[in-house]
Amino acid sequence: MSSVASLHSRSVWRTLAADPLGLMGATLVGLFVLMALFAPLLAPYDPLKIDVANKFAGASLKHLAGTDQLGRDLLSRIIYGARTALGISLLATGLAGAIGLLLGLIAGYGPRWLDAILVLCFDSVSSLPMIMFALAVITVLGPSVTTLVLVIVLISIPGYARFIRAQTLSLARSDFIMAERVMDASHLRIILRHLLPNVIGQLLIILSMDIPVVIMLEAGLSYLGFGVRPPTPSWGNILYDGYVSLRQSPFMVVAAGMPLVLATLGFTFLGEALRDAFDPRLQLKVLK
Amino acid sequence: MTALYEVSKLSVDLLASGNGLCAQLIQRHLTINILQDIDISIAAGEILGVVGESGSGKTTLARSMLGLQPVSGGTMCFDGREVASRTDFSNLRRNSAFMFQDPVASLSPRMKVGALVVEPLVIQRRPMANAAEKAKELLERVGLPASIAGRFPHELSGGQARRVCVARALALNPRLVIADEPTAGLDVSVQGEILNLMTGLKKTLGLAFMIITHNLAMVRHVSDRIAILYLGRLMETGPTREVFARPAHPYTRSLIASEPQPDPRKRRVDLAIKGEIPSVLARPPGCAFHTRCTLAQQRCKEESPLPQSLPGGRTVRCHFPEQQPSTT
Repeated sequence: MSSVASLHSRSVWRTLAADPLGLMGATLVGLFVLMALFAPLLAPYDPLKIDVANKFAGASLKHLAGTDQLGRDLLSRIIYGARTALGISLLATGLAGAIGLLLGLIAGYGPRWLDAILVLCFDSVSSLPMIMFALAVITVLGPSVTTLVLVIVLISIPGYARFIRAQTLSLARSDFIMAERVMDASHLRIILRHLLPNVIGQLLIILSMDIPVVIMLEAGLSYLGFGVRPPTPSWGNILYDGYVSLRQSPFMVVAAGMPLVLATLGFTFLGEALRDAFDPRLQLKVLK
Repeated sequence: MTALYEVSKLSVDLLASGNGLCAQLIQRHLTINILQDIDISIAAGEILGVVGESGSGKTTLARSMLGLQPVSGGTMCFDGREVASRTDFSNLRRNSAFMFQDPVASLSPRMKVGALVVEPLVIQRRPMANAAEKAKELLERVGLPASIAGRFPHELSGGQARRVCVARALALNPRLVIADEPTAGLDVSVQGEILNLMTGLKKTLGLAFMIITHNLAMVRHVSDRIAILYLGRLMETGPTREVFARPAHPYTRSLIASEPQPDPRKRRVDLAIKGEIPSVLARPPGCAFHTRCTLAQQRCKEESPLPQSLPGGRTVRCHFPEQQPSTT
């Protein structure tokens, strides 16, 4: 598989570089990842340090993005917020993708009765209204990062599983899988060596396009007070604090909204560019 | 002549059923008969050509012979032993190979040729000192350069992909290779190369082949015996030379007459088959071919003909074998 990646990577990078939006997306995502990784080095202050005397300070050389209602440095809180946002979204999409992949492969390749049961489960979960379901689970389990990740994973699994199932179903009837069966290959070998490499690429693209959705979901739930608990900085709860103290300092809402908008845009552009770069039909258009 | 693979009275029914949970639970099925009473035998080192139109059940026959398709009746014997259980099929698969109609589609798209040709050995856990060496050896046996081992299936030409499939089929030193349309989609010159490769392997390795095709000229050229299939029924079997010289079944006669002739005046237009092959869902009663047969009588519509032996090792299923149509 790594050899496949190396074979295609050059053309993928070239296609990506030729697309200005994709390049912009990659840059934005890169910046946010660096921000999240090196938060302790980049943040000028401790994001939790309260300095009430300095509350609602505007942007100045001392506090580049001003301070919040408790005098905490907003820039530092936003940098640490990137950690929260990326951490939760990567963990949640990664887990949901892995579980969805497994269930999808089982449903698509396994016996028909198991497929019927799994599809029924996927349909049941995805028929629930997303936010209502999230609020119900959080109310029962209590708001925490773990609950948040759990809820996001539960909500996202059916989509990935159904996508993988559809791919697997069409592949399982293809000649090369038949050829493996004639050679007496074990089911495990067929799934791991032949089905998995052929479905995982597209799943990764879908996952990268879903990261902004999860970032928004995390911010939204944190805004509502159902996600990340204060004082841990999250773009969602900074936004909420800003909304509450909009009369004192209109700047806070902007400071928390900007990274949210930029991160979402960045991941969306990158995901779309990746999809175009990996899709051979669209590649022809680029060559022209 | 001892048979390497002997199929007798094989029949295959397909179940048309719904896919949902409810349909699975209720189990209401519609049975479609695909193959019935197929008797075929392949001797060691022999090439058997199976000829039939699209939809005649050629591919289903090959699939059921390898255990990819559940059968509803009949027996199959490989090397004198009955093949019925999963372990029997495992034994059979160690000694046989199947070449698909579309060679590129039968190669796993994310694996390189080198890994693909030695895959049967890996699956069977055969000891292999050096996989790359073995791949090179197998590729050279089918006349491909070793450098091709680093390519992906979609980077191969049709002829190369076909050769890769032959190399992979030979990896386990099988005794029987079943090839589904081995020349489909190839240039005439490449077709010739592939056929020469196969006949060469038959001579040097004593391999038996079952070639499924609708190309009569090819079958006439390479196969020792042929079997004519029509709508899931075996019409005629026998040594190729005999069958082509004295076709006993009206269907065989029409098929042979439909071959292009160098001299167009010699073509027998009067033997051309009329109409379309009937649907398996609306199978005609009696003889399957009576709806298009020039010799059809009342008996053909009511009674399914039984196999009859004819001189020269031929077997035919027709009420009026070797009867020439009245020329007007």
